[in-house]
Amino acid sequence: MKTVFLFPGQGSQQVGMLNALPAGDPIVKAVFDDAESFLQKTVLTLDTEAALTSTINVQLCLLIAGVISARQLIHKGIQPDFVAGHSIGAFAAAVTSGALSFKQAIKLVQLRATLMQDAFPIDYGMTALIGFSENRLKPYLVRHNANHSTVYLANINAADQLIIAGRVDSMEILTGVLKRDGIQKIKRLKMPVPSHCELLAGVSEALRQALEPMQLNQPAIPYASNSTGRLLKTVDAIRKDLWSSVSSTVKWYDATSLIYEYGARIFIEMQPAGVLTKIAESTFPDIKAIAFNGDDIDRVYQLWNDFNTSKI
Amino acid sequence: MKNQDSTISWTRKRDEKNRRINAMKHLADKAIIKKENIVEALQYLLQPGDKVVLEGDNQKQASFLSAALLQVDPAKVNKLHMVMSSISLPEHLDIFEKGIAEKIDFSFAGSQSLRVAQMLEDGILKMGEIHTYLELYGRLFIDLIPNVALVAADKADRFGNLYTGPNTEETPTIIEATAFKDGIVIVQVNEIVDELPRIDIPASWVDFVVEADKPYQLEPLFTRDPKNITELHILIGMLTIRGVYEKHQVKSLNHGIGFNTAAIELLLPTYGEQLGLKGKIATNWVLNPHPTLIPAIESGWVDTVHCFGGELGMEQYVAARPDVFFTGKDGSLRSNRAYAQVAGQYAIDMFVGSTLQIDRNGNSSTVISGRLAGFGGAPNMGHDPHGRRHSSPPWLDMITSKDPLARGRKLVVQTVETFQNGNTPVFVESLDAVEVAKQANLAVAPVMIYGDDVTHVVTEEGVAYLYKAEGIEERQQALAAIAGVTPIGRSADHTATKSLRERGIVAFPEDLGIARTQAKRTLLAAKNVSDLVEWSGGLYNPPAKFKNW
Repeated sequence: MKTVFLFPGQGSQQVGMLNALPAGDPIVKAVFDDAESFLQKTVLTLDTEAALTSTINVQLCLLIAGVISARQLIHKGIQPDFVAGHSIGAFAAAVTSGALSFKQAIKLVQLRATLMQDAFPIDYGMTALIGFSENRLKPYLVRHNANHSTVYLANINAADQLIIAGRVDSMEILTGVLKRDGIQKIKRLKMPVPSHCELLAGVSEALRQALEPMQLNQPAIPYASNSTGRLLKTVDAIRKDLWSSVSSTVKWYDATSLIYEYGARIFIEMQPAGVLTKIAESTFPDIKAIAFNGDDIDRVYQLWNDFNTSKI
Repeated sequence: MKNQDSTISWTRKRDEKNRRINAMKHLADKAIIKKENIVEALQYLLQPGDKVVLEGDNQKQASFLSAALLQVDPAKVNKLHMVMSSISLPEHLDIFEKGIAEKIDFSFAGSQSLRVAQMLEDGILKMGEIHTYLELYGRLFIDLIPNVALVAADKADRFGNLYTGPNTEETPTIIEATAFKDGIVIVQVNEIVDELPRIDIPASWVDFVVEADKPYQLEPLFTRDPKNITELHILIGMLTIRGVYEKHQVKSLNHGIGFNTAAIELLLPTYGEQLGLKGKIATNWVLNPHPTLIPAIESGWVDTVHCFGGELGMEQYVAARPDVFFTGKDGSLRSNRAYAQVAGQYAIDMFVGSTLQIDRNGNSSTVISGRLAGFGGAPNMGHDPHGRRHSSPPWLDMITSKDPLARGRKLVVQTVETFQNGNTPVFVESLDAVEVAKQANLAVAPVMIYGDDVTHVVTEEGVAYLYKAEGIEERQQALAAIAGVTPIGRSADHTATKSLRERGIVAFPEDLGIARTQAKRTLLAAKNVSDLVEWSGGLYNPPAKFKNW
C-alpha cells in the first residue's frame, strides 16, 4: 500500500490558515523562522482577509502550510512514497521530496507570485468547467480561438474537470457556447491571473534564470510533474518542471493517475485540504483520500494506519 | 545433395538451452531453484534480446518472478522482448526503465495504461503490437515463440509437476509454446509439496520451479457489488432480456464484465422467471465465475459454465457445483483462457458487452485519450467469426436475405447508458481511439468492437436491431433513435424513427411491453454481496473489500 502527499494550489487558501498552526510546534516555528528571515516580516500577517487578496501572500501561505503539514505528518510516522503539488503546491512538494530547500522555495515562490501578479493586472482570469473531457473541449477551443482572443486549457484536473484561462470577455463567449451544448457546470474562479498558459512564458523564463544557479538535491521521494504528468526522479527534471509549469497546462489528472498506477492507494492532502481530496475521491473510487487540516493529526494517522495495514 | 553440409546445425536452439542450463547447474537442485538464487539463475538463463513471456494474466500475476527480473544486472540481461497478455504491475514496466527490457507485445494494460502510453512516447519502450488474446496466444506458436517463460502455479512437486488449480488461465498455453520449441520454462509456485491435488502440467514441460516468498498476486476483477446496480442498469437489462435473449432464444453466450451485465445475471431468476424463460435462454456460458451468476445457478437457470480464469472467493462454491463448472479430479475449478477464448469466438451465439464510446457507425472503444489499455479478449468474442458452420436458432435468425448461401451471424450486443456518469455522452462523432492512434503512432486505431460486427445496441431508450438495417444511413438512423439526448441522439429524425419502429429495426420499451417504472431494484435477485453469500449457502467467500456489511 503506497501513500502520496498532495499539496493544494491557489484557491485552497483560507483566512487565518497560518495563525491556526500551533505556534509551539518546533516544526512550525522552524519554518516560520526561515520564512520571516527571508521576508523580513511576521508571517502571521500574510493570511488576513485583506492580505489574501494578493496573489503573492496566497502563494507564500500555501508554500508555508504545505511544507509544515508534510513535516508534521512525516514526524508522526507517515512516510510518503510520492509527492504531488498542484500548481504552486509543486514547490512544497519539491521541498518535501528533498530536491529543494525551504529557503530556496520561498525565494522562488515570491518571485513567481510577484511576476504573476504584475503580468496581467486586469481583464484576465480563469474559469472552471465541469462535465467536458479534454477531447470534447478541444474542437470548441480551436473554433473559438479562430475568431476571438485565445482561450487556453490551463488545468486538466480530472477526466471531466477542466480549467481554462484567458481574457474574461473571450471566455464568456466560449462558455456561452458550452452551456448551450450541455456542459454541466461553469464557474469563474477568483483568480485574476491567466496561469498555466503561454501568456506566462516570461514568468517561466525568469524562474528558469533564478533556478539555474541553485544547487538542488537528488529527490528522496519521487515527485509528480504538473507540466508533463510524469513521475520525476532527477534534479534536472524537477528543476525544469518548477520553472516551466507556470506557463504550461497542469496535467493533474495524468500525474495522479500515474501515481495510482504505481500503486498509491492512500492520498493525503496537506492543509488547507479539501479541493484535491474531492478530485482524488471522484477520480479513483477505491482509494482512501484523507484531508489533513492541522488540528486532526491523530485522526489522520489512525485512518492512514488502518488502511495501510488492511489487506484491501 | 548440397544439404549434406555437415557444418549446418539443426539443434542450435536446443544446444543453447543446454548451454545455459549447464552454466547455472550449481544454482539448482535438479528442477528446484532456491528463492535466494533466482536472480543469479535468471542471469544465466536469460540472454540479451530473448523473447520472454512474463506471466501477467488477467487475474494471476507471476509477481515473485517479475520482482526477481527487476533485480537482474542490466549489463548481463538487456534488450529483452517481452510478450505479456497483461501488463498489470508497476514492475512490469520498471524493467524497461532499468534497460533490462526493450520491446513489448501485449494484449491488455488496463491498470498501467497511462504509463505504457507515456513510456512509448518517451521512447523508453518499443511497441511490438497490441493484440487480442487469441492473436497473442496464436503468435506464441508462430513468430513470438518464447526463449524463456516466467510463469506462476499454485503448487509443484519436486519433479516439477504443476498444480495450477482454479487459476490455470493461460499457463498451459504459454508453457506449451515454450517447452516444445526448446525454450526454458521457469515457474514460481506458492509451495512445493510431496503430492499434488492433481497434475495440470507435467514435469516434462517444465525446467525449473522456485518456491516464492509469498503467494502470487491475484486480483478479483469479476466481482460486481449488486448494491451499485442502478435502475437504469435494470431497465437496460430488462430491454436486453426481452428484446434480444427472448426474441432470438439465445442459449449460449458470454457476458463482458460490468453493471449492465451484472444486472442481467440478477434479473434472470426474477424477471426472466416471470417471462417463463427458464431453460429457454442463457443456459450455456463461457464466463469467469461471476458471483452475480450465483442466484441464476441456484435457481436452476444455468446448465454449464466454462471459465477463462478463477475468481477470488468463488473457489468453494465452484467446487461444490461440478455439474455446472469444469472441475478436476481434486474437485477444484479448471479454467483455461485460451480454450475459453476459442469457445467465446466460435462456439457461442452471443456476446454481450458494454463500452465507453460508440460512433455513428456503431464502432466502439473503451480507449481514453492518452491511455493505451489494449484489448484483452473482448474483440475475440465481440465479432462475427465468418468461418462458423454450426447452425443454431439465434445464428440463423440473423439471416436477413433470401440468398440460399446466406450465412447466419453471431449476436454481438452492446449495452450502454447514453451518458456515462450522467454527463459524458457515449454516442460520439469520432472515437477517442482515432486520436490515440495518431498520438501513439499505431498502425490501426484501437477499436474494441467494429460497427459491422455489432448486431444490437441497447440503451435506456430502446433496442437498435442493427443487423436488420439496410445500408449505412439506416444503420445510423437506428443508432440515433436510441442515443437519447446525446448530440448523435438529437440528430435523430422523428419520421425515420417512426418507420424504423414499424419495421422492427428499433424498439422502444413500450414496443417490448416494458414500462420504465417496472425497472426497480426490488427486481434484483440479490441486492448486495451479503445476499450473494446467502444464495450460495455460505460457499461464496468474498474478498475483504467486498465485505461491507
